Amino acid sequence: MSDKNSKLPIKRFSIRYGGSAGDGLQSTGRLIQKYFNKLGYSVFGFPGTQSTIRGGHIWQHIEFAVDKIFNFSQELDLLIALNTDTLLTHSKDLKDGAILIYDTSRVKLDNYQELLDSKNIKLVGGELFRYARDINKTSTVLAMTISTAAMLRLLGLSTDEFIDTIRKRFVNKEKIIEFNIQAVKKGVEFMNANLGTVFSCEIPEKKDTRDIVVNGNEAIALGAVASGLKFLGQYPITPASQIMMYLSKHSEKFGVVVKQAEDEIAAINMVIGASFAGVRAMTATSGPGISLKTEAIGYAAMTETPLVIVNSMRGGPSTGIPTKMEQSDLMSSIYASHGESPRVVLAPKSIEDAYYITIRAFNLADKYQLPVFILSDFGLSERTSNVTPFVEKKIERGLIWTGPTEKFPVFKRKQITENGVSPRAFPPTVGGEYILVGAEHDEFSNSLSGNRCGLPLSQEIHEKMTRKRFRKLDYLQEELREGEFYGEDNADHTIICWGSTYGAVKEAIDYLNTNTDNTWNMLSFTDIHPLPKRTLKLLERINHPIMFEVNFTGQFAGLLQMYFKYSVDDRIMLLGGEAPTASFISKEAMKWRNK
Amino acid sequence: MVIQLNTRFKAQGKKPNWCPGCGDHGLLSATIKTVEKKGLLPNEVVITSGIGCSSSFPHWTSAYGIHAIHGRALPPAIGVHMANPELTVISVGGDGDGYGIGGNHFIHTARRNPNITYMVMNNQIYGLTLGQASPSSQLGHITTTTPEGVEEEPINPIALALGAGATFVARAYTRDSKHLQMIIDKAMDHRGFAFVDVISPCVTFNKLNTYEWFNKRVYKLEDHDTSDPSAAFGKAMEWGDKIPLGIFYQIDRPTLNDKNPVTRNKIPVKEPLGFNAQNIDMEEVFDEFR
Ligand SMILES: Cc1ncc(C[n+]2csc(CCOP(=O)(O)OP(=O)(O)O)c2C)c(N)n1
Ligand code: SF4
Ligand SMILES: [Mg+2]
Repeated sequence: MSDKNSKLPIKRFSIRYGGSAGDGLQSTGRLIQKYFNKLGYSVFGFPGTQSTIRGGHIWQHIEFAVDKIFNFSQELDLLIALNTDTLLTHSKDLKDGAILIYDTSRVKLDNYQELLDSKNIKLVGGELFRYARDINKTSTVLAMTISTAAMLRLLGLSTDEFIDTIRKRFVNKEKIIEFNIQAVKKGVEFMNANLGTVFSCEIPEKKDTRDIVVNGNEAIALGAVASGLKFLGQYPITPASQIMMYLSKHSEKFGVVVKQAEDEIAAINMVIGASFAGVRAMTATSGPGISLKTEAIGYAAMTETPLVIVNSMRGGPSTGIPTKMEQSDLMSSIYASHGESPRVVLAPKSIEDAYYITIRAFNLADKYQLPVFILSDFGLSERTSNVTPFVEKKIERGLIWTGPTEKFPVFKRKQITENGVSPRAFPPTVGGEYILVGAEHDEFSNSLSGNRCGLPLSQEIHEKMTRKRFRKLDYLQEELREGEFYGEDNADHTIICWGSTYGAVKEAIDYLNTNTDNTWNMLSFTDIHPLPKRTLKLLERINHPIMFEVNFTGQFAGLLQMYFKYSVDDRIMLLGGEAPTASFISKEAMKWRNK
Repeated sequence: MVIQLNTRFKAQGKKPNWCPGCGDHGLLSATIKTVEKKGLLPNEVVITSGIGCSSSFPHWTSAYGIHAIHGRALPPAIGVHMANPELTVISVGGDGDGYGIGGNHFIHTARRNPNITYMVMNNQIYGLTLGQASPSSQLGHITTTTPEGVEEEPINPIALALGAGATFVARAYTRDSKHLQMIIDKAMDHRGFAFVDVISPCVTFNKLNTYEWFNKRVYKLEDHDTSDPSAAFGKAMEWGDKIPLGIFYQIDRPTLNDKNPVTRNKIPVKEPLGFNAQNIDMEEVFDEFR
């Protein structure tokens, strides 16, 4: 073992576990992040999943650093390979001189030897699964614990807090705890017999942190409870299922009715009923579910029923790439449904933002009585990070009629007002009785279909009501966040992005400003629809715009063109299904450097 | 300013736009009479429906209502029912609405057993869209979309409801208002999902299954054990020369709200909003993530 002084100092370290579904990558991954959180590091986790329950190839990225991490890195300091596919997928990302821990019985190095040699990769091979079986015949998950303990040894970090985290996770399951403790011991011994401690980790200042390790879905679920959610109607789909799973687990405690519906159509229509009855209600899904909910989204807009719709995007049309990331459902979120139906679309930029945007979504839905989309994606819903504990925010329920007032002596559910917002009454309010109806209707919500359809009065009402419904957006956009600049002022190049790619672009901007002769900044958007009118002023500050969005057709660029006649000619496109990283974005951005 | 408490369920100043003689008039008046007799008030009742001639039903009452999209009368009813279990929830619609496009919701609502009354105005035709075949149209019926007659076996709503686990299954006929009112009364008294297939002839587009056609065939179930599923299934299979009316099956089973972890103790709409207001310790919630 080398002495302390010769150890490599580290501020930020990226680790990737690769294995098969069933190896416990994700569950152990969360434990490891909790451990780093406990030590005061910033952590960032990201899963690479497949639609597989057993076998296949999945991976878990874990990164920790002294300074805040905004996105995971492409380049790896350590790769832990539990199958050969891990090398196929990740060996190209190993940094020069990085370390590979691998299971000698499952991983065949042959085809990769040349690459590993060329990168001077330090190899640490062992029969990880056999060691695991020696501890407990039936468990393979322990291989994860063994390799993690080996990693901690490599990093010179104590295993005590890791054991604490395990104890907490498996409280009252003494056998499991015992097996894990043995596995930790084994892992440490294994590394001692190999490289020993190679690194010296910088110790973060932050100690005794109260930070929490959550993923995007959990942040949305917590935000919904903080907003007063009472009814969730949902149908399982990746990457939105965790919202329903988390809220189901705590349904009684949180006072949230969770109804797993027979399909997405039922889910959203249940939510419409719950909202009509006066509670805050939400549905969550992904693209295929949005396709099914489409008709009801228009109904909610037409009937001015507040509801929150989480749309966690995956990739491609149809089943597409179900466990991967794309930002290709922007247009469908804004326009899905026939006729013209107003709505709001908010795309959170980070886990913290997912929580706070959820609260804003509920307030906007209630105040303006329309559907509000929270547009997440696999890259945000399933990423994990440690964040400052969330706090509650003001709840605004909008205009609710509980009886005659001077301003509203008689209840007219669709009363035409200056800002388009009408009073809402909930059953059993006396005097508030009305029929919610998807057909065009007058101020009393009397249907105009049937005998009154086509009469001169109805023509006039449809026009007035259409204007009323859309007038709400004019008022509402004043409340929306505008795009946010980060980086050098008046930079040569500006990367425009929206939603969850914020962190990756931010790290890319830092890299570009340090490593190129040009100046760079970014303009990121979270409040996508309606785009505030003052957005144009921001766009006019850009010298050379480069659009980065994870889709083929350039959907956000299209919106800028449509609303502001603002053209972005240069694009960075990413279509492989993996979430973007700073190195990808900077490499691509540099191609436009001389423009 | 005070609002006069309305006790009358009939909508003021609005008249149903159904054809004269349409069976739906019969269900509307029988329902209004029954709910008024039960002493319910319009503000305490929510009536949901889908789309079709029959689904305009809520507009002709003074209760709260949701005239939802085609086939989706039941899901919003569940939302209302779980958000505020104190409300009386009635769902109505047509055979196309409930047995066709909304068939999935019919099955799963039956299985869930919410305390909701669901009445389908079955005219064995798509009325509103001008007389196409419906899922309950008779085999061989020549309609605007089946010039050679319906090729598919009609759905059996009674057997379907029984199979799906409905706890109250009945059939009534709009021409026999007294019997219909009795069935509505019992359906509304039933704790759980009460389903009534209401024969409600379309005088304009169904020239086959007319009042005369039914008058010759319907009879009331007597000496029938409503607690016996085999007897219920047996009677459910009867359709043709003889068509039974009455309660086929009724049992007591915990309702959706009895079992739900929230609604079994609470009325969600009356609960405070957020963690702190509900006395939930956020630190404890966060502990799971540390
Ligand atoms: C999604 C959708 N598809 C089609 C229609 C057109 N449509 C309106 S009512 C109806 C059939 C109604 O039949 P039924 O439910 O039996 O009601 P009835 O008019 O016979 O009372 C159809 C197909 C629609 N409104 N929405
Ligand atoms: S078309 Fe038939 S179902 Fe529709 S109102 Fe007329 S009679 Fe009734
Ligand atoms: Mg019909």
